Amino acid sequence: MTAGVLDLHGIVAAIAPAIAYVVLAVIAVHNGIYLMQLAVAAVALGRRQPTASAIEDWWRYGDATLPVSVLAPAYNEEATIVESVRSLLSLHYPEVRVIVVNDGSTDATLETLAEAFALEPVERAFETAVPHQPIRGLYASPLQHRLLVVDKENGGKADAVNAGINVCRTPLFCTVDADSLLDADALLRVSKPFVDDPDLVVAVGGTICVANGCRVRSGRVMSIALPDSLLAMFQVVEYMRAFTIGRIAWSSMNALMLISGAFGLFRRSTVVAIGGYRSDAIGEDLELIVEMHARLREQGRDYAVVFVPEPICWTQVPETLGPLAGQRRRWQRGALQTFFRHAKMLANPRYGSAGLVGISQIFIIDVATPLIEVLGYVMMPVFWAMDAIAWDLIAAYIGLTFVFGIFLSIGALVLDTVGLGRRTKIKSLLVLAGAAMLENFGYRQLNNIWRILGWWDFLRGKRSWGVMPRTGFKPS
Amino acid sequence: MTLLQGVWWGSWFAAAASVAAIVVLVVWQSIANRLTRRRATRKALLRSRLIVDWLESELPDSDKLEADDKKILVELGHEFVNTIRGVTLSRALNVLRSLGMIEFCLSELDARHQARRVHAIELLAALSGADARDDLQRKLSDASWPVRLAAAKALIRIDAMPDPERLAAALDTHRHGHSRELRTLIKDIARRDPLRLITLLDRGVNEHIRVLIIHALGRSGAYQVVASLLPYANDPSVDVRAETFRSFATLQHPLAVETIHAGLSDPAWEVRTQAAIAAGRLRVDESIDDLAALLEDPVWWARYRAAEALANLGDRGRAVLAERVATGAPSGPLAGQVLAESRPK
Repeated sequence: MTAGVLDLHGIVAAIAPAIAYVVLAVIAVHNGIYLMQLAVAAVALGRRQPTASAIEDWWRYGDATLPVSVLAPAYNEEATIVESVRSLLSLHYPEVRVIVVNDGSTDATLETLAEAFALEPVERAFETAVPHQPIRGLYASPLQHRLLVVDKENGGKADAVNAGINVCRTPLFCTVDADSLLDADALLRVSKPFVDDPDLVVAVGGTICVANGCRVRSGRVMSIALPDSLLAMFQVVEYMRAFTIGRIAWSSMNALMLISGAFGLFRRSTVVAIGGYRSDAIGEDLELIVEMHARLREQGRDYAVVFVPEPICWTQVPETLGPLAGQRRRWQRGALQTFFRHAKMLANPRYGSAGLVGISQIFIIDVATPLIEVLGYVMMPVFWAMDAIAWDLIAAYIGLTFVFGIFLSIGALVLDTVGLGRRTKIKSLLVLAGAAMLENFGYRQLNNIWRILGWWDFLRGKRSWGVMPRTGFKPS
Repeated sequence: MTLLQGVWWGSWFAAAASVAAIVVLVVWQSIANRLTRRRATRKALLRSRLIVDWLESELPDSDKLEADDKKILVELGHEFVNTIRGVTLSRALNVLRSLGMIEFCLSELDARHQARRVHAIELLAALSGADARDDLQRKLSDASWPVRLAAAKALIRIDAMPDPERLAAALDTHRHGHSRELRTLIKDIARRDPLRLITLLDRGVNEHIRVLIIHALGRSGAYQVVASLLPYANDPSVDVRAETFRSFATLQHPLAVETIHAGLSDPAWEVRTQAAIAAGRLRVDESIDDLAALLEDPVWWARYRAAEALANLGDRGRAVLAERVATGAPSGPLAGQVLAESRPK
């Protein structure tokens, strides 16, 4: 018995340093990616010209924009749909149509719209260019000639957007979540890359900001404020680091792999050419862009997937652990599904920066790191307690996982403030700096555990979305 | 120090440095906020003086302006030029001239920030008119594309249009050559002097510029360009041919009827689609049979535009669509939808 314990101790002592070094190496690469992201974003932001006012953008290129259809898939949104549609109809853009796709709602979404806009059934020819569930009817409004409502059988968000793509006749379409809010000038600003280089650009994404805490009136964010909930505050820092600074960096290398489904502008013909959104994708927005990169690179075409930070889409984030865990597990499953579908792109020079940088960072950040970092949470203290590794290894692990994270989060905050000029209130800056430090002690670890649970869901073959409760916007 | 100790201490150093950066940022942001507030207050004051006081009473002494006031006045002048018209604008421009803004705009043409150069160009064109031609032409060689574009637009606005070839050379760069802003600029030229663009087109420019010029001529509403556009319906480039038919659809001149009719059997679907639109707009009755044949085109857009054109051609065209519906032809559902969609309300 004693010999057996000694043997186990000996085995652990022999393999522990190797495991510890692997854990450290993966986390160092993970941090290195974020560090590179910060550096590239800093250069890109440094080269940017100061942002013109929205009215100046209108004067400058308003008449050079391409017509856009805004596609708003809606499922059981009866409480907010009218306000959302009014908000979309009041976007400042020269030629815009709003197409609401009622995805077989079981509540009164369609009836509410019909009553508010006096909808009437209409006939409209459309090409079935991408697959979707059958359309039950099309409705137009004599009050709002730019509004079209598509009523279809339930098929999920991707399926609903596909129906919208078929029905729209404009060269560009914009996807928005029916429960998100766009700034009035967001569409004009997000369309700028299509004005600058209409032959090259195939998709453009804008910034997603956390609306919790902001005051909203008539579908517009009237005053920007930080959320009261600490959990939402952590997400503000996270959105800033990953969704703004990260996307600026990847975009400047044409390796942007995600344009959020909540707000993106796409060339219709390109999306149709790749078969539209995949209805079976868990993260349909990630899947679309990765597929776009894969196909266009395989065809040897020049193209650009661009991120512009100025246009803002406001969205509610979960303020309690349950829904947030559900969201993160779903994101993880989506990332894994897309990664394994496109694993051939990994570090493959044929796919250029999308393969060498884009899909590789998905592999490191979304696939490998959660597993390795959580392995570290468990194994490192055990190894140390068993005296199998030296304190230096533990210290380096703590340094890389907890302490260096402070630098990365605050670095993103500094860049966001200096480069984009978004946070001007001193109190907000200080509060966010506090959140940026705190998030490394608990929130980051929790996130990684949710990602492991996402891995587990993925391996079990779970595909459903689950329910995402909304708290609603704070009225002004 | 070992590598592992280096990682430990390096992480703490980075974290401490980032905290120090936040402290610096807070101080910097406080100063920046104060300066921004002061500038906004001054801008509001100058705006109200310009609109309310200076327009109505004696002009101010330019020496009494604060150091940054002229920079603010350039922004305000630029705003006025884009938002005010008529007598009020003329009077506002007179005030700005008397404040020495022409000289200031000339000095701002070489400002470091691109936005300031653009504002100065636009205001200078409004203040000096044709006198600013040489300075604006110089800015056609600016290092920044938006500045060159602003200079080109300003030159066109003051009726001092440079040679279109020079314009093309200034604006057709690798990165910005396909910008849709260029399209707007050429449309401005076409509105003022379409024949000059025809001359340029006939001189043999590259495919991209041909598309832009034909597009602009189509939007110019100048019927005299139709004859010159006819040969481009047989251009080797699909984009040029499609754009030519798009222009015929906009100009709606009977001189293009025969060419449109021929375009319905073009090998490229993009061209057939545009020809079908043009046939519908011009109500080319002799195209009914070809449009009917196009209803079986392999490409949906060509079929749809053909059906739409037939619906536009009155009773004979609608009868073709109705017949497709009645006989259950493959194009029947589309014909039915287009008939319903185009039904007179």
